[in-house]
Amino acid sequence: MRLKDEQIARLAEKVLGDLERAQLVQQKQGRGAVLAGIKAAIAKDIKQEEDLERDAEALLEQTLKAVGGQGIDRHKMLKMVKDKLAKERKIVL
Amino acid sequence: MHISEDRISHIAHKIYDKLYNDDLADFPDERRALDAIKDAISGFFSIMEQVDQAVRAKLASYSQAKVPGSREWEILYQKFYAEELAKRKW
Repeated sequence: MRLKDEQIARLAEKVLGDLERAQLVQQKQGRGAVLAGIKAAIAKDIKQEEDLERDAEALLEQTLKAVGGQGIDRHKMLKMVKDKLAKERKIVL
Repeated sequence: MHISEDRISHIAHKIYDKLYNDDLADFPDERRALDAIKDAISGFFSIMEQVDQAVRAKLASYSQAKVPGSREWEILYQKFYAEELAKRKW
């Protein structure tokens, strides 16, 4: 999942707006701080996912180089590496 | 842009935890608040998907159809994407 900053801002606004309309949130340090908190939480998670994808690609390249890579389904292998890293890092893809 | 139910739930919990742990907000009803966050995320991606499909359909029917992935296609995609968002008052 890739989101630009403006999309993260829009998603954060929707989350907070929906919580406010349903009267399900009590904002303790002002709306701006809450909105910034939501944006930060989303951005951090997306960054972790991007790091994982980059590391999985690098790990796969290393592995393929070491074993030759003949007859290996690259797509399937990449998914396996990503799933393994996600489990280790406690990230839900 | 596909996003799984598990991923939506994961992000919703991250948002909830961030607001609660940083003392930015309280939630009078934790369960309903979490469900509302999940619904908001799900709704957001549903709209993004609709916009993407509308833009791709428009590009495909464009009289001077461009090759998907080409620079011209990307420029038009961004232009139509912004128009589609504006049409939906986003």
